[in-house]
Amino acid sequence: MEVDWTTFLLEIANFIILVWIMNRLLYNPVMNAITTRQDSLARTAAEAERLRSDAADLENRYRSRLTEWAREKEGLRQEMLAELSAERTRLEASLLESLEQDRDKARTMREQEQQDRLRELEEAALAQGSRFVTRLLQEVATPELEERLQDLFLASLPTLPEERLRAIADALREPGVPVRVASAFVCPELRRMELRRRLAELCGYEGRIEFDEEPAIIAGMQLRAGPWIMDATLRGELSFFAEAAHHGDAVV
Amino acid sequence: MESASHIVLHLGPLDITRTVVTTWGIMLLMTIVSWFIRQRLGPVPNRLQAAAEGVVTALADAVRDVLPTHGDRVFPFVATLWLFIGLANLSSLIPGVHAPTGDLSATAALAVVTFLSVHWFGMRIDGVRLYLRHYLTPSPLLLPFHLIGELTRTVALGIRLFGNMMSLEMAAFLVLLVAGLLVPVPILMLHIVEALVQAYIFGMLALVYIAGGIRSADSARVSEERSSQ
Repeated sequence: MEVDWTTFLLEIANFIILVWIMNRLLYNPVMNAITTRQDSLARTAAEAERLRSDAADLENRYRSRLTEWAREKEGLRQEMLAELSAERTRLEASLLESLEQDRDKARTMREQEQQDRLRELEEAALAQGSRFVTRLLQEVATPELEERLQDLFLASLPTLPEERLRAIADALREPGVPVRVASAFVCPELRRMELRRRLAELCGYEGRIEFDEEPAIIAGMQLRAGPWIMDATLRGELSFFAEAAHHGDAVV
Repeated sequence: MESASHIVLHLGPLDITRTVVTTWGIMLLMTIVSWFIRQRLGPVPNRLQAAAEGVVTALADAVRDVLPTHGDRVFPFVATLWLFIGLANLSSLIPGVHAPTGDLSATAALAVVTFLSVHWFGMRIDGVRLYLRHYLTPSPLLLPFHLIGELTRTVALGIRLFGNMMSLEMAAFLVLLVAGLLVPVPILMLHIVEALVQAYIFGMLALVYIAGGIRSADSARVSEERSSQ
């Protein structure tokens, strides 16, 4: 246990040199590497922070734009809803008007159909009544009734208008046109002469007149001269009533 | 068992002992490893760089824990103490190699270097006048005690390391002689722990002494400012 001074001094020198070597070869390079990496990490972190900040800024701008878009969209939606509401109101009004027109049309058609049906019923009733009356009058028609009708016929001739009498006279004087008088029963000679006299007085016709019996006319007298027919028969009156009902004329 | 002061060669007037040769070997090893690490430093650390950075960072943090303000200036000295004494202590595990720290000349040299470094760093950091003034605080009457304390702690630093390491080597040698080849293995395991502990103690004491010198100078500055007010 003694100190060798050479060793002592060499150890001091060795250690000082070793400190210098280690500082130069190990400590400084390693610390520099760590510092460089930390600086790089700090720069990276700063860059990341800047990017994050930029991203946050972008996000805020994006959110702001989204909010603006949402507001604009809401405005457009409200405008569209208002337009839709107006259009719906217009369409509803149009539809209601169309429905009202359809209802009116249907009501009119229904009324028309009712009137038609009523008219058909009336016609049917009149026809049935006419048939019934015809059958009834055929049963009860007599020469006396026919004479009475012929009297009415002869009595009504002078009451005809002048123009009509003139037209009848023209038809009677038309050459080749037969003048026929039909009755349900045999017309008495006296009645025939009365008819010739009246035609001669009123129309100036004194030509040939053919008298026929037609039971179908039930009773009365019918004069035919060309297109003219002067009817005073029960069949003609019944037909007149039936046709008057068919043409909508009131029959009272 | 040969003495650590056994002269291996002569360089002119200098007698080179085994301790010095072993120290050179350790220095060469540390230089090569440091150079190797330095050559492989890069922005993306590999395993070797990660290990080196871990060791250096751990040592730097330990220094900064004790001396936060001036840790970077003291760090190379204290870290080299830790690494060199640790490797020197562990070198005795190699058969035929004598640990330099088992030689009083080497431990005394390290203690003296530590002693000098305390004053060096104190004067460099606080200035010569302010640093020397702390020997007179809180009272000039305590100057002898300060000087005795400086001397005794330096001697204790060298003797402690030398005694521990020499006794470990001696114990391992005696056990090897008495019990045979494999029996000293537990002793050698204890040797590893003891070697690292002694290196840590020596470096930490050196760091505490340096920090104490700097803080004493700071205290002296505070008391000087108070007296001037």
